[in-house]
Amino acid sequence: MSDEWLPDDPAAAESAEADRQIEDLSVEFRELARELTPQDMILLAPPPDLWTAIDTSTVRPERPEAPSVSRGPTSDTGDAIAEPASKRQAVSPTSAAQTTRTARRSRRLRPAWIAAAAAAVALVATGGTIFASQRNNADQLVAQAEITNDGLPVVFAESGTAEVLRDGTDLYLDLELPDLPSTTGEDAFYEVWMIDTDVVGMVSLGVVPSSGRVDLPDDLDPTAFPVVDISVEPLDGNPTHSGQSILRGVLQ
Amino acid sequence: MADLDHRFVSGEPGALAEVYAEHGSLVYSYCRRRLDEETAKEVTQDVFVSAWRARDRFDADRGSLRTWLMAIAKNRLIDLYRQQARRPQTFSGVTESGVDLVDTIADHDDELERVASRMMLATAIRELPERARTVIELSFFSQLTHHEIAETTGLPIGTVKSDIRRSLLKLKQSLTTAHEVANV
Repeated sequence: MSDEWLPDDPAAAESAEADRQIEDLSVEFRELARELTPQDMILLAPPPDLWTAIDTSTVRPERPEAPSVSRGPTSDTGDAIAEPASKRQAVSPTSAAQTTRTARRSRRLRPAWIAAAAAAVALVATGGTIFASQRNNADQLVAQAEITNDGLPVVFAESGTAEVLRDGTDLYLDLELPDLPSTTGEDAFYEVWMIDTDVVGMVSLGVVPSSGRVDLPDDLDPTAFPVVDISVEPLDGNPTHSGQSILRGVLQ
Repeated sequence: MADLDHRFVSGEPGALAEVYAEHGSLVYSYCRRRLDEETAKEVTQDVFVSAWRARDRFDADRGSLRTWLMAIAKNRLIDLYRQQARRPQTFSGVTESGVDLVDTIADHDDELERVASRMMLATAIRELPERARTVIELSFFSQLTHHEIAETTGLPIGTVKSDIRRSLLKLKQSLTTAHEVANV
């Protein structure tokens, strides 16, 4: 079928107009999609008693069953009106080092490195508990997570594991990422984050080392930041999360 | 979803519960972007109760219930900003002149609108059929051309184009609102 618009062909004119409308929509949504942040893509389950409050506030002849809405991890923070989302609170013990990164802008990886996760990660009911299992070896397992690319469009790796272990009095994160490709020679690197249950703050633990071991800051409570996130970051000197998550999981 | 929208408008028993199950997380998460847990819960409750009581003002044939609910939520958040703005001790550095107040509220309004649009877009993309979602993600986020998407996915170019066309129309439908939300 020819794409040429024939002025005397109403069907072709209508098709051309439809194509223009589609193109306009595409431009509009692409622009919006480029602004997506990790916060935009995570849904929190409302408190379990919220439906009851709604139901009792409306006059109903019959009371329906409580709708099934996934319950996310329990939050016990009591923040006032938070700062705008544009100021994502990337509290990073290594941020000072990160800001010294050479500011280089490179677009040559963009076709291969898919940008910005589009899929939301619903924080499902986990009970919010982090358990400590008893092990016989020296390092005590505190919490663990299977991290996957489920819901994430970036296809760098299928899955991995993240374990929080105690070495004496110190906590560290042990990452096993068997199928993550090397970034050697590329203008990008992998960074590991821990995100809180309110999706307000995230802590950067820095570059993913080849050893897979990342020491946790003394003042970081893993129960307050249970979401482990691995992102791919360009070498642009920007310390904030790129929005390009490649693996994610919740510590349990 | 369109059928649920109509059932909601008609006041069918159980429709509110289904609407809440469908959109409760999104509205609550949106409120939670600006509010503490307790206040976000109160505002979310207010949104659904208000929407239910004003459901006759929603035309299910002209727009998306989801967008209408989010617009109500945005208005509630703006109301809270106005309340906060009227407490001088918490609004330091800004005079109470009408211009300053309006400019600041307008900024909040624009930003809240943008946040809502982004969250609704992310949700709508997630709801697309798997193949269409993959195609849209490759188009939006990796900025591949139709031919590059076809090569990447192995799909015929015609399928890629039709998936994109249908998906864009679906996204537009999901993000369209044509209702007055003032006084809701």
